[in-house]
Amino acid sequence: MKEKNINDLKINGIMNLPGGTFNNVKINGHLTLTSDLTCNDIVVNGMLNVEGKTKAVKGKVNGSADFNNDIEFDSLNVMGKSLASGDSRIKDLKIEGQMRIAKNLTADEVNVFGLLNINGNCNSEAFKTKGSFTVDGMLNAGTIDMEIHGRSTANEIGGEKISVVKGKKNYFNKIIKSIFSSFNFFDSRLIANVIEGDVIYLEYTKAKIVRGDSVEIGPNCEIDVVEFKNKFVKSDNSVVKENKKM
Amino acid sequence: MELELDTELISKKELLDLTGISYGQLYRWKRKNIIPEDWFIKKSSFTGQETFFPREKILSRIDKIKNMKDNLSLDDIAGMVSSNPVNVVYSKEEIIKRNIVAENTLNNYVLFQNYNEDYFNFDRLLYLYILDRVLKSGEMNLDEVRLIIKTLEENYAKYSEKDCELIFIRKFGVPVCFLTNYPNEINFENEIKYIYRAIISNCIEELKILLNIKD
Repeated sequence: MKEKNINDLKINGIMNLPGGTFNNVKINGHLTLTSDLTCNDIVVNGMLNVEGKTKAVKGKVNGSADFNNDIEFDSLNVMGKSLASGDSRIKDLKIEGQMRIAKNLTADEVNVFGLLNINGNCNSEAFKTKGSFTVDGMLNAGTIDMEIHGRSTANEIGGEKISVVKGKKNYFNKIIKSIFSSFNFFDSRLIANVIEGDVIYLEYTKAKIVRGDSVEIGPNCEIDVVEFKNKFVKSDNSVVKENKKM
Repeated sequence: MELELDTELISKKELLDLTGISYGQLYRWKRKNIIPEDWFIKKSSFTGQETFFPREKILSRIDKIKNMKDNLSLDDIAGMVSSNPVNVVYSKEEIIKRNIVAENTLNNYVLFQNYNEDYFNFDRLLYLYILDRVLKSGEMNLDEVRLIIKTLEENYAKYSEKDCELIFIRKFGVPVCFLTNYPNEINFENEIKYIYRAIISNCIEELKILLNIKD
């Protein structure tokens, strides 16, 4: 940020402010901003509520943050809980807690270790998850790397390299499970309508249509139709009702 | 009279077959906004849901991308095919030298608008470009063309960040020119004759490619 003489903002109590431009923002108490917020670095340990748009270089949410309008971050790390009601542009998004994005997410890299719900579409160059996610619209990413822990769903998935594997059982699962009871560990798999990509490897996936250049179906999949160009391999543990070479 | 033309569609599968691109490439270009989101048209078919595209638009766009991608990065291409205006200024000399519009067009514009400045910004270049197209189409006389420039100069700024369409009609020899939001459906009585229509975002796209390719 080029502006000089911008102040830090530190809130330890409960406060309502109109918003503004700051250097570093730290909230230990409870802050409501009634208009736009622009800042360099923001750390939320308590609770934050922004009614306007939010633009920041770096953000970290340890407590709870509700953004009621569009947001733009270079990097955002959610360890606690966050809600973004507008369109979200976050170059580097890391979820270790829980986040819901009510519209579209545009990112360079998304890492999910906790829980991410997107009600719109998700566009990212890389999408990696070791947690659980839902995308109501389309998940479009160059590289998709999923380790399935709990149930994940997406309406459509498209990309270049798509890999879905079953997550290894470790103490990490237990921690997440104890935090988020909504995780359904008895139905630990990916559910999607359409999956399309160049190179696809799937495990523990239920999908209606899978299309790609090279499609490899690993164990415990239920696929209605596979359409492939060059290569198709299927594990004996999986059901593929129909496969067609394009 | 219906304005909306029924555009011919192409299915995703056919598109990939025809152009030889892969799913990955298609999604990549979509992510980069080189292929606009609203060209992906979802329709239900017997196999479930299928995606279709406006045939001519997508084929010419993919052709463009293929031609440009060896020399330009995807972000550069995205900037060129988007209909966002760019911040450029050209002098009269440059416009003629680089053959952006015909010299005649430029002279006419200067005459119509009493434009004595030596430099043209992007909006003015756009008016010039449209003027050039109209003049080359040969469907209007100079008075009518003047009407188009007047319409654009007076009203185009009101459509900032929105797409609009320029429409020129005639009824019993009386010309009328106007700008309207695009997409929009307009219906007229049968005696109205459409002389000229241009979607401004397409003009911007073409102009940008013209400016860049000649670099």
